[in-house]
Amino acid sequence: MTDTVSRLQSIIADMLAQRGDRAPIMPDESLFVSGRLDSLAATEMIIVLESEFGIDVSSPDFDVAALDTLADMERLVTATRH
Amino acid sequence: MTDAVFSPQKSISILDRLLAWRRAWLEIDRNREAIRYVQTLQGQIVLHAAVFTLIGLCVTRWTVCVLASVALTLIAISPRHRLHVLLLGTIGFLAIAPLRNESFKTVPGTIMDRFGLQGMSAEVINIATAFAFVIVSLVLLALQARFRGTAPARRPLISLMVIFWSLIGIAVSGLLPPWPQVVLWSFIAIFSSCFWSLVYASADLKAGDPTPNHLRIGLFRPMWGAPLMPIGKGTGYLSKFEAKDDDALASLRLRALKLFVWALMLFWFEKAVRYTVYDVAGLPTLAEAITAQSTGGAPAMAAGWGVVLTHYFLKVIVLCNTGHLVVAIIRMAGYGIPRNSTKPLAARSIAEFWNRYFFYFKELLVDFFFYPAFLRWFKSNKALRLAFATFFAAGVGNFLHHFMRRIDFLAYDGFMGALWNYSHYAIYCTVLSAGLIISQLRNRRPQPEDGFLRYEVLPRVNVALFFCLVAILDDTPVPVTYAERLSFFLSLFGVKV
Repeated sequence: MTDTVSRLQSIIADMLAQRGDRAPIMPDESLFVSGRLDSLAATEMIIVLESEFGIDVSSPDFDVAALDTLADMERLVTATRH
Repeated sequence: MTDAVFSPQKSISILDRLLAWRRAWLEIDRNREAIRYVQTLQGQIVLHAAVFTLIGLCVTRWTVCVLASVALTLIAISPRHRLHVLLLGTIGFLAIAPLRNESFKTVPGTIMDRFGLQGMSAEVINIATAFAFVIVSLVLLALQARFRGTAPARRPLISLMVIFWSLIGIAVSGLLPPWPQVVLWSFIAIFSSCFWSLVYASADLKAGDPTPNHLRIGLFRPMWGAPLMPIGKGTGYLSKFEAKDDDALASLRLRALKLFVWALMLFWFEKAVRYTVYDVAGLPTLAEAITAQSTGGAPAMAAGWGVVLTHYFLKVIVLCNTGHLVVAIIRMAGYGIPRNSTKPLAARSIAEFWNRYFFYFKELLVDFFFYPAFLRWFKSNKALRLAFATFFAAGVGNFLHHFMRRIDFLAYDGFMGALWNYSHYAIYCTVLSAGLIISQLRNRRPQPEDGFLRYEVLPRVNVALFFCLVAILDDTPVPVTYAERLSFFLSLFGVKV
């Protein structure tokens, strides 16, 4: 598991735990569209992606649905770094 | 069914037996035998007959009963063509009832009366403009796909808002001759009632959803007879929840059946509460209690609280019942989308209540107002960023969404008159935004270790009180003045004006 994935997984696990959800997180499992995490959690996630991974999400072409799974987030971070 | 239900245990009490039945019912969508049974021809017929009966028992509009039953039958015969069936449903709905509710329906006819126009019925004009709107929508979606790199294609909500308000500007200017004015108002009424479905279709297209454009039209007036809110969003969202195989579809339909039964129970419970409180106990409705302030028949303080609490409770029950019914029909069609309402009275914060109470309205505001603001503005200040995005969604977006539906105000009173008639809702949205901002910026959430009262009771009472009081500024079925609203609000605290 890469550092990025383990860091993202830990952040998501914390958010879920705050909401009483301690079930494991699968890489391709929907987190926001499925309602497992709410929009407030999405904003926290966006702030983390901006501050820790330097991702700029202000483009009008950016779709928040691109952050729906752990795998989506990893792809976004990887694409930004390359 | 589980073994516990059928095992011959003589000592089992009636209560145990009932609880076992309840458990078996709640777990029916995971029961292998039940899942297998509803995949047989007999099982499908029994399931669909049960569902059609349930729809008939809790839907008051015959168009929805007929269209939903026919569409679900066609989908059961050919599940892979569910989007085509939805398209047929929309065409049927637009032909039978092109305009959704009374505020839309009255406009074209009233404009005709204003000019003394005769020779063609408003209904025929509405049907013609409904299909013209479908064609215009297809052209707009085709243009968006063709010019996807341009600013209007990349910002579909702004583009559609510009088109909508330009049409309103032309209509209220009065520059058009009488007949074109009637046709334009009719077109605007259709546009307004399908606006957010078109926005979702555009957003899906922008996001790369591969559904053909003509099939997106199937969600403009879907056969489940949704209110103006696009429950289920667009085809891109629905596709994420589409049942992947026959087992998943069978299980999903059993989940739908459970939701239909729950919707029916809430439907009749609401009728019973309404009858008991309003007809038997004689409590006035919220609108009656507010208007009574100026006629001298205002309720006493305790009765006033009874009025706002009953209004809040019934509003929650009605939304749960209608949302469950729509989601259940969508699930029967093969899309396992989340519920519109999930235990709203259990919410411990105002923000959580919104998420639990009206999920798809919150999603609409979050998708098209909150995120665009949050991703771009005030990025250096976390609190201001969150507060502004919340205000932009719950304040600006919420007001726009409701104001754009009041075509009748715009047609009869002009733009400024309509704005004044609806200014109370701007205040409602501002107060709601303030509540949501405070709720989201509070760092501490209630914890179980805070004790029963501080964890289970007080946060929920606070949420209920907030929504009870803010409802005084909400829409009412009859016009209400600011003085009457303020007077009623103060009377709840023993202050007589």
